[in-house]
Amino acid sequence: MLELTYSAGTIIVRSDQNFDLSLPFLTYDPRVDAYRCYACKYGELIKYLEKKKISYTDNVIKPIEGNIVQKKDLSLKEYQEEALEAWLLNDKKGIVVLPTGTGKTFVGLAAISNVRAPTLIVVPTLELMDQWYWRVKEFFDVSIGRFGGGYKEIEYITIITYDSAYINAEQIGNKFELMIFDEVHHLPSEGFRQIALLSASPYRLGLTATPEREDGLHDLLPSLVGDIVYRRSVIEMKGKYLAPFEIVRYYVDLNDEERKRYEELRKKFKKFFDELGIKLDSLEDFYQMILKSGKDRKAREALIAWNEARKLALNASNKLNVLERILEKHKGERILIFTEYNSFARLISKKYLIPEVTYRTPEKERIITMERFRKGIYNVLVTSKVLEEGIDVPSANVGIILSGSGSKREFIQRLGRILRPMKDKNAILYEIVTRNTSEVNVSYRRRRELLTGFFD
Amino acid sequence: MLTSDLLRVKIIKNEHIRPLFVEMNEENLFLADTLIDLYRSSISKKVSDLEDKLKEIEYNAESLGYDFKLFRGLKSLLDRRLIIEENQESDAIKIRAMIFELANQHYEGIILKEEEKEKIFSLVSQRLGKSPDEIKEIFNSVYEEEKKIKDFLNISPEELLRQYNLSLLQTLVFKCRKLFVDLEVGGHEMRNILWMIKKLNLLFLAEKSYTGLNLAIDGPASIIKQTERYGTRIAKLLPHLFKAKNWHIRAYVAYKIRNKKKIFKLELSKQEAQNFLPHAINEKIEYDSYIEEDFSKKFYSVGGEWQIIREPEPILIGRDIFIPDFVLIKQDKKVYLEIMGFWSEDYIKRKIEKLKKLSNINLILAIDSSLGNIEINNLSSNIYIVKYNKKILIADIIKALNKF
Repeated sequence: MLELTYSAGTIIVRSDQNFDLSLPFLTYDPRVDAYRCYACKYGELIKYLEKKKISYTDNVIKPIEGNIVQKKDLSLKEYQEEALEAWLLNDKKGIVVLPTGTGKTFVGLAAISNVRAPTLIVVPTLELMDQWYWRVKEFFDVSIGRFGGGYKEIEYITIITYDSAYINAEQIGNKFELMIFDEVHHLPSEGFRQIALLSASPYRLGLTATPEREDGLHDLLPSLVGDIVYRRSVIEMKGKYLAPFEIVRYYVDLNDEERKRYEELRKKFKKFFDELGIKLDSLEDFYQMILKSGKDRKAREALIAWNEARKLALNASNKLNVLERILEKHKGERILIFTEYNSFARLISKKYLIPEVTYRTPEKERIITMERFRKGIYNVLVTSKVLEEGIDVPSANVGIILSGSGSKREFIQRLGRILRPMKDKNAILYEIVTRNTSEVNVSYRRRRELLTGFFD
Repeated sequence: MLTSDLLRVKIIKNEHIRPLFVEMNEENLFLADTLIDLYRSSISKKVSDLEDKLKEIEYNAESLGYDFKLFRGLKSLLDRRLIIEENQESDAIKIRAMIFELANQHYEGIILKEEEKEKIFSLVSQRLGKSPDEIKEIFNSVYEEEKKIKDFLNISPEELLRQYNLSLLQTLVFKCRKLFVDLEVGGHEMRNILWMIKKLNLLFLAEKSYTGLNLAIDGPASIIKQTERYGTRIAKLLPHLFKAKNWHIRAYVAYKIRNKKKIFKLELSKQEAQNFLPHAINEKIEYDSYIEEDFSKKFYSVGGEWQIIREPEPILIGRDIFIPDFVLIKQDKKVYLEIMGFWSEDYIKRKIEKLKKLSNINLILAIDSSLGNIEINNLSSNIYIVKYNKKILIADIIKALNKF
C-alpha cells in the first residue's frame, strides 16, 4: 500500500512494505527517506497508479470546506460559451485567449460555476483582485478571501496576487481544486512558474489577451496550465463586441530650454558610446552600458544623462498644451490619461485636479477613485502603469497616451482600456510624441505590429 | 537584505565570490556617522526634505570617491529605521474626493484655468470652514513625500556597517541553491538552528565533519530540481548559524558577469568574518517546559555523583540530528535522557525506530503515561524506558541509571 501526502509544494510517496518505488516522476529523497515529486505531477501520478492497478491512500488535497451557490445567471455571450466548452473538453485544463474588454472574467466565473469546488484566482494587481472579488460576490453565495496587499484570507474562493502566491506556494498548494490564472502570460517567469509547479490543483484555467512573451517562455505554458484551447483576436471582434476605434497621433517640440538641455545630454552619452565604438540602437549595447555603470563613473554619468534625456522627451512641457486641447474637445466624455512616470501623473493630478491612480496613490484612495470613476462621479482619470492590466473600466472612450514605453503589450492594454463596447461612441486613442527625440522610435516600436495588421 | 542591484562583490580568480565587506575604518565610519546624523536630525521633518538632502550628500560622497552602491545600501538600511506619521489620512482622502467630485460637477472634470481651480478650493473651504490654503495643504498631505518623519530608531555607525555587511552577504546568498555549513555547536544553539530550519520550511542532510557537524541545507523541491526558490530563506537562516562557536559556510552562487550567468563558489568562516559581521548575541537558556526545569533542579540536589548537563552536543542518527534533553555523567559513564511530555503513539514508535540505530549510546526515554498507555517491544539493550505521571521521580531515573 502506498501513501500519498502533500508536503510543502511536493508530494511524498511512502510505502509500508518494501515496495518498489522506482516509478516514473518519483525521486528518492534521503532527507525524509521517501519518494518525492512536484505537486503538479499529482494528476499524472494518480493516472499512472490507476493504470498499473497499484493501490494507494490519497491524502494530497485538503480542500477548504464550504459550499457555493450561484445566485444570478451569467448570461454568457456566444464566444464565452464556446471558450468554456473548449476548456471543459480539454479535461478542465488550458488557456483562453480573448482581447481585453471582451469579458475574460466571465469565462473564469463560468469555470467556477461548472467545477463548484474551492478555487484560487491568481491576479497580477490589487485592482484586479478587487475586481474579481466584486464579480464573484455578484454571482455567487460563497465565502471569498483576499490574499495580498495587506489581506491574508484563505476562503473557499480565494483571490491572490502572483507575488503572494509565489511566497506562499507551499501553504496553498493543496487547498484548491481549481486554479484560475488571470493574465496568465505572467506565469512562466522563473519565480512565478513555481506557483503552478508547487500546486496539486487538478483543474487549471489561464486567461490572457496576449499569451506570447518576448523571452519565449510561453513555451512552458502547456506544461503549467495546459494548451491554448480557445482564441479570438481584436480584429475579429472589433465593431461587434468591441467599440470601433481610431488612433490619432500628435507631435510636439521640446521648448528651447528643454531642447538645449536635451542636446547637451545627448552629446554626453553619445560621446561615451562613440569612445566605446558601440551604436545606440540595440538593447544589447544598452545592457553593456548598464553593466559598466556599476563600476565605471563615466558609464554611470552617461547612463544618468540618457535617463534624463528620455525623461525630458517623455515629459515635454508642450505635451500639456496638446493635452489641454484634447481635454477641451472631449469635455463631458470618459477620458483616461496614461503616463510613463508616476511623477508626471501626479503633476497632472495636481495641476488639473484630476484624480490619479498610480502605485504611489494611497490604497484607500485608489479604491474610492476607481469606484467613483466606474459610477460616473468622475469623468477623467490619470494613471501610470496600474490600469494597464484587465481592470474593468467599463465606459471610457477616450485614451490619451502622454508617454509610454516601447512595449507592444503595454500599448495593446492601454488600447484595450477604451475598447469596452459603448453606445453611439467611437473610441479614440491619442498619442502625444515629442518630435526629434528617441520617443519617436519608442512610439513606432509599440505600434508597428498593429500597422502591419498582425494584432491580437 | 538589499535589492540585488546594490550587491557589491569581489571575484577572485574567476572562481570564488565574496561580498565586498566594508571595513570599520575611519572613512566608512565617517560616512555612516554622517548619514545617521542626517536621519536623526530629520525627525518631525518631511520625507521629501530628507530625500533632497540625501541626493545632495550622495552627489558629494561620489565626488569623494565613495561607491554609490554603498551609499544606497546604507540608505536602504536606515530607511527601514524610520517611523513615518500616518495620521489623518482618511480625512484627507475624503476631502480630496470632495474636491474631485466638485470639479466634475462644475466643470465636467476638466479644469484648465487657474481661477476655476481656485473656485473649487474656495467652495470646499466654505463647506468645511477652513481657509483655502489649509485645504490645499490637506490636498497635498496624502503624498508620501509630504509625510512627516515621526521617529528614527537610532544605531551606532559601527553597528550600521556591520549590519550592512550581513545584508550584503545575505543578498549574495539569495541566489544560492544549496548551503553547506560546518558547525562546531552546542546542543542549545543546534536546537535553535534546527527549529529555524523547520520554521523556514527547509530540509537538511547531516554528517560528521572534522570540527563537528556538516549540514547540507536546501528545500523540499530541491531534490527534484535545484532551485533558487529557497535562497531567501537560507539567507534568513544565516544569522542563526552564526551563533555557533565556530562555523564555515560554502555555497554555489549564480552571478551575472559581463551579462553571462556563471556559478561561483562562496566560502566564509567565522575567523574571516567576525571583524565584519554583527556580534552574535547568545540568548540565555530557557527551558521548553516546566517538567524539564523542575527535573533539572531536583536532580542537581539529589543526583549525588551523577552530573547533569542540559542540551548536550548534538548526536548524528543516520543523516539526521538528535539533541537529547540532558546528559547524565558519572566518571566514564554517560547516559542521555530524553523526556517525552507530549507524544502520540506514532510519534514515539517512529522516534524509537530512529533511536535504535544508536547502538553505541545509552539512553533513557521518560514517557508521560498520563497521556495514554503504550506498550513498546523489541527495545535494544541500550535504551531504557521510564514511565512517569506528570512529574518525574528522581528515584526512578537513578534506578534506571544503575542498569547501565
